[in-house]
Amino acid sequence: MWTYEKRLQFPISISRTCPKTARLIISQYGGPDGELSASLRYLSQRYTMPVKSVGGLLTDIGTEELAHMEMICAMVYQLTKNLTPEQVKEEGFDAYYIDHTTGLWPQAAAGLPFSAVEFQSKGDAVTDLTEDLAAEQKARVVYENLLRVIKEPDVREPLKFLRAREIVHFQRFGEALERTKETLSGKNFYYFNPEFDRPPVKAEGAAGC
Amino acid sequence: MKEKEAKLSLGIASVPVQPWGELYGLETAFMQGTVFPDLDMPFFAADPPPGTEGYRRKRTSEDGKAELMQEIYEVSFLLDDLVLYLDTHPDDQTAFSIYQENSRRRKELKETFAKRFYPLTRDCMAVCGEFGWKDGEPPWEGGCC
Repeated sequence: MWTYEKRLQFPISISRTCPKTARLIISQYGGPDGELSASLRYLSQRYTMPVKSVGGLLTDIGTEELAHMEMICAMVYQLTKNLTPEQVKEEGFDAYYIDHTTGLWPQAAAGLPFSAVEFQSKGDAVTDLTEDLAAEQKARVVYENLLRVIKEPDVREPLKFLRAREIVHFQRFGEALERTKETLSGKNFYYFNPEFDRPPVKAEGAAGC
Repeated sequence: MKEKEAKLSLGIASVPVQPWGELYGLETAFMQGTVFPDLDMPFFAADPPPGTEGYRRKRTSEDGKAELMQEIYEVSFLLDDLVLYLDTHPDDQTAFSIYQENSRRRKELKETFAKRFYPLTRDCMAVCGEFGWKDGEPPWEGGCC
């Protein structure tokens, strides 16, 4: 169950319309390393996690990612507010505008639609947590790429905040992997899949369902 | 987590478990995006240009709404960051007591905000009018900040 709180995690208040910047930032909404992808990845992976607290961590980070998605959408929305038809053409927003006007739609900066193909839920704790570590690094790089080219302070502040969160999440997923390893054999972490072969399969007498 | 000596293994990733340490104050934590100085690793292109002080949004209002909301932002963020730490350090009593103290503070702040302005969540309806969309701006409009 989720409940909504009527505020952003970090305030967004952008004064200048700039569809060019909106076209870049929208990638963190629907792009391959975006916040929608992140939240769905973690919220999908949590069900089969063998360590209870790791399922909890995935829930908490997945929830925070939803709040980040809301921040990104607020940025795109404010950057395209009061858009004139002239700005649409001059600032390269025309292709998006034809399909969506100024409505929010999850896509990557290059125009590719959001797709679940961008993330995995593999049903293997070590694999999923290793993917999560990489996901946080990829998102960090997107924010750094944005920060190199965007100069407006009221756009940069929330981007800096979001980038910092990626590093914290990386650390927590690393600790979650350590906790998961404690439950496995240190001699061979890969002897069985703790999400599927639990309790370890008995060779004989296994009853059907 | 039991702080047993981390033994690095071949064939699998390892990340050191964070030991408890100093925390930033509420305002700095919010601006830096983490309450843990140990995890605050800035990016060079995000630094303010040389000779400038850096950007700080001033949130002021005559009725005190912006200031109260700022306090809600900061306390809530501390809890957001601490809860993830507690997820992987469930036995850390220091972190837990800071969490509890600030969680109570957040409840009070939300109640004050609901009484003076409008409820932020449905739960706040217990202390004031309806939780609806007619009071206060939607958060994505830049709200009261």
